[in-house]
Amino acid sequence: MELIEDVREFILHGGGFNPDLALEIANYQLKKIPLYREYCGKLGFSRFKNLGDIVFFPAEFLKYEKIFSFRNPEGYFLSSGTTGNQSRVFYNKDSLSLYKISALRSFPFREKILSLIPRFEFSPHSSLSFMMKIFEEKMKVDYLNDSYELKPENVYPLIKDESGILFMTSTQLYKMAKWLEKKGSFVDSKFIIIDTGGYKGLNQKYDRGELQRYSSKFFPNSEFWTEYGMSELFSQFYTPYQGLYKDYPYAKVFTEGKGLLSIFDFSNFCTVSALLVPDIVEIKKEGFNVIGRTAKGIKGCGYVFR
Amino acid sequence: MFSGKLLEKGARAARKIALMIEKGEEVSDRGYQKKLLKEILLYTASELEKLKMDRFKGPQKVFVFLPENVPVIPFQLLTLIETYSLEVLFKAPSSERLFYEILSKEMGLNFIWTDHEIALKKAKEFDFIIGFGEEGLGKILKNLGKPYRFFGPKFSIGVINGKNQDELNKVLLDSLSFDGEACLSPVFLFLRDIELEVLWEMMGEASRKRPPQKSFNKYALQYAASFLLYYSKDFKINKDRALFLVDKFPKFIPQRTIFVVKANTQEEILNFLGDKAQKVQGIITMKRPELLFSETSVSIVLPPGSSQFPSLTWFFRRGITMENFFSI
Repeated sequence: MELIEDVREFILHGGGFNPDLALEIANYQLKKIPLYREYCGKLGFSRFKNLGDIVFFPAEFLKYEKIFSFRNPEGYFLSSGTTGNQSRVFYNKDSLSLYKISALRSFPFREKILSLIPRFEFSPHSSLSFMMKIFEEKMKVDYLNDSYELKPENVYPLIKDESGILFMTSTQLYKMAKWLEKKGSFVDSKFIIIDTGGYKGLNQKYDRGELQRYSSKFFPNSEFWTEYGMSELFSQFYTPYQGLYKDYPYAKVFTEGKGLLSIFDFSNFCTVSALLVPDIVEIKKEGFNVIGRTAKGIKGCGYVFR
Repeated sequence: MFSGKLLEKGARAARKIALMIEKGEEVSDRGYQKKLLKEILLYTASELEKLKMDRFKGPQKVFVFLPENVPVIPFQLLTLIETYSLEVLFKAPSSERLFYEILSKEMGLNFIWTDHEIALKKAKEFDFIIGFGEEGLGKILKNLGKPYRFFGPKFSIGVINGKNQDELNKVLLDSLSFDGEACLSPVFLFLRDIELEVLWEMMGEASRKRPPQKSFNKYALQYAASFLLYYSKDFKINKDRALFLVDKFPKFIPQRTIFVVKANTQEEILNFLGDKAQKVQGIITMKRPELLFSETSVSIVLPPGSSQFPSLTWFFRRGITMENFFSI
């Protein structure tokens, strides 16, 4: 059986984290991706013998280099670029198939989805739109929006008498709540609102709790959840607003205590699974908390990366 | 010629804050390096006491966007304020309240802390705007329809004799001043004749004298350094500093990071800098490098150890003087 088949099988049905398979994947990627090989070589690793040897690869590389283990990419996802340059995550049929099974296994709901995330056809480089397309296979997905821009006055009539899962970015949630506040109105229906993060288009970043407290005034009967995901990682994590994200057997967090997110994502089999992400996380017994992004891009009078 | 009241007040304030630092009092939220800040304030005080100014006519009301990387810009602008009898409002960064509150109290300068949108609205009520900060601010000011001067991101370089220990020790202190974020902190050291290992040891000593500020982000350094090492010829990294040997201009410049380039002719240095030559703010070196001076945007040349002590009549860009500051 090919390695990718083992990976697929594990993402579908794996019980606990499989260190042997992880090691095999990392060595496969080391062999197939010259840049990863060179990078690890600089750190003294030509082959990973133990799990502890595996080098976590900064996601930053995806902004500057082509990183994939297959021959002919069929397309690419672009990151939102809220922190400077955009990552370009190349994919092929195999990698998308892993994305799909991971996304479906990770998603904790099966109710009808009302999506403010545009259709994949309208936003062909958005991994979030691709995820919605995947959900169509298992759930009914109604798209209420053709782009990431939001016109609350158009959306409001479409949701006010509905229920189910309302999927939107933080910017969209903020704009929707702001519009409802201005209108002196609220949405009475009971939704599970899933906020996917992303503050592009807003002049400032809002604390998640602050956004939820503010928005809940205008969605008084809804439950708020948050999704943690990014184009560079093919697995996503979900939690109620006040809760902690839990990792999966196929997407394990290796950070200890408080630090940068080091994650091993089996569904990244066709790129690099061991990824170092510029988000600071705090590991607790019950899961992990995402404290915030550390890299703001090149800015400031000192021309720095903070 | 006169020595203005504001300059006297500025000198007194600078001495008072230096004394507060000596007594162990907190004077900034970002935790600027205390010893360095004290030295700069004492230097500023003694310079202000010596200055004799002319009177010029220009705008009356000036709005200033302050950067967050260094706190002493208001002092650097004092001579302008006094010479032109300006009414100035400073928009201070949200990350630094304490230092500017002290300046407000001691010198009667006016500061506001608001988000950019409100500040821009306010700025439109002024005759002239001075902006320090990221390129985005520069673009906004360009479209605001008001006369302005914008001082965007710049970096400095050190051209050093690698055999002179004293020069090296001093320039390393310069590099780590304000965690390397000040536009006059040299982030590139052009030198030969030194092993990275030796320089790393010396950097460790400098790091003890210029410790990380409260605002230092160790995670950002860890992440950035993990990435940049790939593009380097050699590297040394720990939790509060990084040193890279490079032959190409890096993708970005993290805090508390020095890039060593084994080049020492001016042609080699220009070749390394490429189009970034127009982003050079200062050169830290013992002798004036004529070619670099003419071929880069450098506005000041300072000897090692004095990068944070420019003249108070240096106005951040070559050719800008007290007399022509407001002539666009």
